[in-house]
Amino acid sequence: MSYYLISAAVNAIIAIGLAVFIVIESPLKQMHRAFIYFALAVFAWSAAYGVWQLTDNQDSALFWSRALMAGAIYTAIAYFHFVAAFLGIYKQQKYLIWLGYVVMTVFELLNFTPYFVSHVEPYLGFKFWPMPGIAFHPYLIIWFGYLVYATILLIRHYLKSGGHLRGQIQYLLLGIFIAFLGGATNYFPWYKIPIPPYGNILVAVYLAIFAYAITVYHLMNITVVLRLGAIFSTLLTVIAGFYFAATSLLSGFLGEPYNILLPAFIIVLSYAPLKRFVENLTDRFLFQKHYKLSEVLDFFAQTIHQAGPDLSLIVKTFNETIIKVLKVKKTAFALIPSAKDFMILQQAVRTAGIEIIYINNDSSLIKYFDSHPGAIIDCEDFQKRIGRGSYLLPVEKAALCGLEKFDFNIAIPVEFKGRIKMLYLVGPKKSKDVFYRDDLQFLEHTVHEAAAFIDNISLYEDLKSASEAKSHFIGVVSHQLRTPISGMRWSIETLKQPGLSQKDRQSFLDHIYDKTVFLSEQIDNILTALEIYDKKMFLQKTDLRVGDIYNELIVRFMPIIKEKALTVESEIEKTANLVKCDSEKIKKVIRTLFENAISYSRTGGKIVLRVFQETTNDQKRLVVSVEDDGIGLSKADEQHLFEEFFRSEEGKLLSPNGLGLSLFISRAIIEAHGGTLRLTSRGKNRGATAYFDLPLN
Amino acid sequence: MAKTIFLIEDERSLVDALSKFLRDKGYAVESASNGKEALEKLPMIKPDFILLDIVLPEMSGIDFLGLVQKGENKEFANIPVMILTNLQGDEQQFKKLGLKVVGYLVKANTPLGFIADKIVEILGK
Repeated sequence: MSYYLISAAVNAIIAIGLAVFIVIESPLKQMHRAFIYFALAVFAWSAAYGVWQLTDNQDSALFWSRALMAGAIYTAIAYFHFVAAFLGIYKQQKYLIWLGYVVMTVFELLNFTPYFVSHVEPYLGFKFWPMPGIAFHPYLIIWFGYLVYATILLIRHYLKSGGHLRGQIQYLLLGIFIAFLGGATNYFPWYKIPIPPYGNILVAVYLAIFAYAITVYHLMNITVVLRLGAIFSTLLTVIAGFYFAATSLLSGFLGEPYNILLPAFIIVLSYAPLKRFVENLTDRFLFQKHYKLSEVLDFFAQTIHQAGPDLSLIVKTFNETIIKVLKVKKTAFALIPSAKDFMILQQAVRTAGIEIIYINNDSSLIKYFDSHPGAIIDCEDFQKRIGRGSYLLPVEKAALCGLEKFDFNIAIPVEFKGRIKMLYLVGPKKSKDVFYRDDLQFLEHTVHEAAAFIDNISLYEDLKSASEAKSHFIGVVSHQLRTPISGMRWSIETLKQPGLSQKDRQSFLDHIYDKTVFLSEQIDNILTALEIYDKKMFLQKTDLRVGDIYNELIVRFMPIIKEKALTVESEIEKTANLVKCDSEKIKKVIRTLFENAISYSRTGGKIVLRVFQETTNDQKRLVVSVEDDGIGLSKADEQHLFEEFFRSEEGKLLSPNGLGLSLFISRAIIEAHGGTLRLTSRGKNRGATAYFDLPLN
Repeated sequence: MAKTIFLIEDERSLVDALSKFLRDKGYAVESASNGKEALEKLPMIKPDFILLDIVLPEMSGIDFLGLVQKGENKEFANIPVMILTNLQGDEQQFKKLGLKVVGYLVKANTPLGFIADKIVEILGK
């Protein structure tokens, strides 16, 4: 077999492969359509070129050399068409493109007359080289004209463009020089210039470069899943091989066109089963070298278990595994500063020496994951969809921009206990290759595995802190119970002394009474906390006029209000304050919030109680808020406020006898009523506002 | 002249009961409701004996004692201090910190008379 036959066959296979691939993988936009025309023209040229090489008589050689020209005629105009569409100037060039197709079609009609190819004769070792007719010369000028103009357009845009587009144009320019100059070597012998068409194979090289550019640079916005590519090239090689073998074999028994139609018929029939067979084949052999997901995961799981409870070591092992297996350029963790455990995670990631990016809770990436639970962001996938002509949702577009801004390709949420605590970001592969489905699967599995392991560790930490909390509880409770008891004890002892004045007697009796009330409240709190633990809170609902509580509060807390010289105000919507609830429990909550406001106010501070009605989502709600201008809360405190036994450092100083149960209990009561209790602060020493809402029927 | 006892305690009922009891026994009694206030009052009162609670607002009893015994001004470092608290088992903490106390009493378990006896034992009548 000669070089010309082989190069023709290779060109034909790759050209038709690309054409079929683009038909399957992308929408038929102007650009893609034009490229398919181009590839088909190259295919027709190469296929006929191959058959022409095999012929041994003059008539047949003349027919096939005209057939090869039938393809070649359209190559330049199709390429020009493609370049115009690619550069987005199709509309401006529309008439020139149409004119080109019309003119080339005229030459196509002339092609089967002696005016285009006059005859064949031996030249440069070819037995039957075609010789030009009169129409061939203008054709060649126009052919080159389109080619040169396409090149000029490309160069012009290349100089103006930047980034991704510049890279793509570079490929197209490279393509013109390699393929067309290679293919154009065929024109020399037509004019008896003794240069053989050695450049033929360059057409295939160009097509291969083109395929590579599609894969890596998303040329024409096509993202290739390589497995598919492999399947189709294998399939096409098999089909083309069969086709050429069959046609040349059959030409001995059958005349034209049956020697072409019969193999084509067989191919059409056997396409589907053949495809399935090749799919199996590529899955089994082509990607086994890649990596075995289960083995890597097993290895990873073993390694992190050996890492023990050292968080940063787990994070480090995890990251190294990803880099090693996927061969990526860079990775990073995106941390959310407001997340619980943020400090711990930040410490671990930093110790592991991994890049940290800080994002907010309202970042486009987090928003995406909020609306797509369980999803991951893969830029390639988005780009592929853009290439298919489908529109991205605003949230998707924002996420894509967000990720590209950091120059990462993939973002995976890392969840602990169902909450996104951070994101793992993966940059491009060293090879610039796309991420295969296997890669994404591997990433997801590994992240999941690592997160589960970290979760277990923190569960252990939780248990430890729970047991610490319990012994703290016992310590606090015993202190809290002893304090009123010692007051009662000493007061009673004093009352037993003879010669006590009436005034002193009354004062010590008051002390005893206060301590008794305090003690029973403390015991109540402890019991309610236990109820909450056991998840059995009973509500006895009656009508409560919330506004009336204000007076009760003032009477009850007057001594301390006076002592701290506090200003207390109320803004109560009279019409809106009746609510059906467990009155005793709700009163207790308001009392707690009010008492907290007093405790954490500094001398001379101001407290405002508000009761008003609000309508959200067609649901009427009663809102009660207590605002103070006291010590306020730090962000860290805000997160722990509602945990049982939690006391802020500041709070402990100002009011050391608190149990740290009241907010925990209050929240449970409000939630049992279908409401929410929140505490906000503008920061330390900037006051705090506690508020809750209850649904109104 | 009557000896002065400085009672540092934030719980009103306890201050009332204990100071009345000690005054009846012939002592002068001054009080402060937190460590900071006590530190300020100390130079004016120049007490002979200090009764100190641990859990106090603003400044705890331990911090107060640290400043008195280990601070720059050691003028009052040798005044006998007795701890009156409802926390159990914190006695060790004072030793660890190198703070000297003459007694450690749990309020709820201690009759008033017992406190007075202890003071008499140390200060004399």
